[in-house]
Amino acid sequence: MRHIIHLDMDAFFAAVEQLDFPHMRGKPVIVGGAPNERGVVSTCSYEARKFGVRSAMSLTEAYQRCPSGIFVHGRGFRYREISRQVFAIMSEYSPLFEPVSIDEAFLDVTASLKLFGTAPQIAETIQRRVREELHLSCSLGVAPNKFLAKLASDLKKPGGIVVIAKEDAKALLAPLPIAKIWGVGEKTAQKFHRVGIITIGDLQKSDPHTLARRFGSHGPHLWRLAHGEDDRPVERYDSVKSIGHEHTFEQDIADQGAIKATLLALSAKVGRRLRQQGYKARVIHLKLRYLDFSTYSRQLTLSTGTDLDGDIFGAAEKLFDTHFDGRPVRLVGVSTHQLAPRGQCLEQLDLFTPLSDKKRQIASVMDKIKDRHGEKSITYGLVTEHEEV
Amino acid sequence: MKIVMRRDDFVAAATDVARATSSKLGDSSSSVRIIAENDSLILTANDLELAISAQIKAEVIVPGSIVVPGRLLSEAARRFPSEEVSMHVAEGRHVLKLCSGFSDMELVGMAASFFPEIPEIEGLTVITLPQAQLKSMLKQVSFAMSQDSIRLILTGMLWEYQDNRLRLVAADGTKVASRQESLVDQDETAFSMVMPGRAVHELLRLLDETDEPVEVAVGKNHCLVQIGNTTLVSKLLEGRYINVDQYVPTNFTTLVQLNPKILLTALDRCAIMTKDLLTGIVRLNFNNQILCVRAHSAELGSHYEEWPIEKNGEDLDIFFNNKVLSDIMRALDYGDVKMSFTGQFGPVVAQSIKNEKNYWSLVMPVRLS
Repeated sequence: MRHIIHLDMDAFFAAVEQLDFPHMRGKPVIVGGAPNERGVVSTCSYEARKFGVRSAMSLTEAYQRCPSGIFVHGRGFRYREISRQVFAIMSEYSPLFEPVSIDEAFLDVTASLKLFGTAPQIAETIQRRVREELHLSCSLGVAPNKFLAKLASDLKKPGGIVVIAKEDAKALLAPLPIAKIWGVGEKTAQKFHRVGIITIGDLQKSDPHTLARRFGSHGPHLWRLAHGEDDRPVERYDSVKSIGHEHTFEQDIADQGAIKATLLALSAKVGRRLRQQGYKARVIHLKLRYLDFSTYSRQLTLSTGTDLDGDIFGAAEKLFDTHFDGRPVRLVGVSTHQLAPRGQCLEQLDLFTPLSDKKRQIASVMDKIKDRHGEKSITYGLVTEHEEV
Repeated sequence: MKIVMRRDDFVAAATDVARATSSKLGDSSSSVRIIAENDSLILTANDLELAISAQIKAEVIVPGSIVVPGRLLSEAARRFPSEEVSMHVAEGRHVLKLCSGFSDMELVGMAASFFPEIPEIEGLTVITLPQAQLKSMLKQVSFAMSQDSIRLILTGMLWEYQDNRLRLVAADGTKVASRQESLVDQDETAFSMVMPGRAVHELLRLLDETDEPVEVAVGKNHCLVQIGNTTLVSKLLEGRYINVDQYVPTNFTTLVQLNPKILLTALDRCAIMTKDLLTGIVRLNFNNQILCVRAHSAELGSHYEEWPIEKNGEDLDIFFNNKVLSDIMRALDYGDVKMSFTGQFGPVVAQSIKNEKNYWSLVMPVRLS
């Protein structure tokens, strides 16, 4: 059996504001913006919750409910800084650590029990250290899986530690509304309501086969969650620093066409992995090893991040054309660096280059084919002419 | 050769000319040719792309010529102690002796016969305008020239002359600037040329804020600019310039009127939050009659401010590169500005309200992808 801890900071952004600005302590603090702005409440202190203010409520409504509230804009950098400190404390108790967002994370302590005591004891230690070292309050859940752990941390907020044992799970879940299940949003909840499933207990009693027909593969998964079963592992968080591939030729070659075909094949592999992992890269790196093992590395910085095979190959080819000295090559490598999550890459738009999704469409079609028929099912014409990689 | 002249004239000429030398030491493109004849000294630098020649008054005792390293000459000239400088080249030797006050300096040179001649310009069209006017035109446009040699033609500035109207255009894809002026009593022949960025920058430097005339003569492959006794000759960039007008939108979703100085100070504060200017992004939010300007850096912090503005049309949330937007704002020096938006990812046109027809610029936003 696994021992999973889920940590959730209490009213995190508001608590950080109260920590940094003592005059806000004990007062309703609403993080999100000024009351006359169009935004929504991102977090509010427990004092503000007494007035009925909630996350995601419009600032205008929050102001109507709590005109005496202290409205502030968020300070993302400060929250991230504290978040890193909280996560650093957690990571001391197990390497199996997975952040979910800025203020919550999972920790699998199954292998740490002999070192640090039982899972509830570890949870207590973490909570105490966060309170003593960072002066912030958090709630923790301890359970045999991620779903129950997350659920548990929410049960006695703020400042609570809730332990859910496997055998208690079913009964504990039964009276809770269906929306408490991880992955059931408003839309899915409404769908359940329409077929008379209101509580998790209702879902427990329903037939998994019927659910499969109505909700697809998601149905049986939710049914298992309703029974307190969840086998998803805590995925270790390693920030990806670079993605690359190399190829050693069977025989040293000097034929530019063949080397370029290899570069394209490598670029396509790199692009595929970037897209799979949701990153875009700004720096493209070419590695060339000649027959005498002398190795050259050159890189090019793009104006904006990319995850497209063509862009990666374009840069690699340019580097190759500039630096290749004609000697037979033993190894080539293409790697990408300065990765940023997709959606966070800044792209300076160009008046003379119309926005085109053509390359992206090609990539997405190729990805779909590879997903279904395997990595070798489709490639570029140039690559097939020089079959090696 | 033997010649005497005023130091300040010499320093000015040597400094102007040295700019047209390349930094490679030892070949003719890093050198300056000195010719003494007819009561004047002519300094010329020519690196085959750009040539600058300056003529100053001097007392020519023995005419002659020599070629010396350009940077050395201007460095030396600046350091001379006395108000007068004399130059000698002994017959048959290629050493320039410079004397000023009690100091003597010798520069090793070479024979002037090796020096490349400034090209003759064919098929000239000449226009004349006050220096200050051309300078202001160049200033408002030059910042938009491309730094990126991938689109070589865009590293230059388009000069179009037709029906007594001179128009200057620069564009790099991220920004565009266009300024035009009517000129009086001019050559009727229309022309169109793309002047290399380097020549534009040198020209800007050589022009004064005066009403003294500057003459621009345009030939097939070269242009020649005459400013007083200084001549600049530049090769032209080959190829067709992009017709920027076809990219300028005519339908807008949001129209805003604001004081560019106010926006500039806001952008300046935002720049504190941007680690390097290349990645410094500002976010503009036009919400009713309020403009919110913000910048954010994960490492450094964030900045937020808001201003009342006059707005017509839709609310808008849009990102820009701080430096690009600042350059656009700085070039608009005529009071209030009209900014016309075409949505979150479309071009923005900026115009001075007082000078709407003669000057406009365009800037492209940044998007998150």
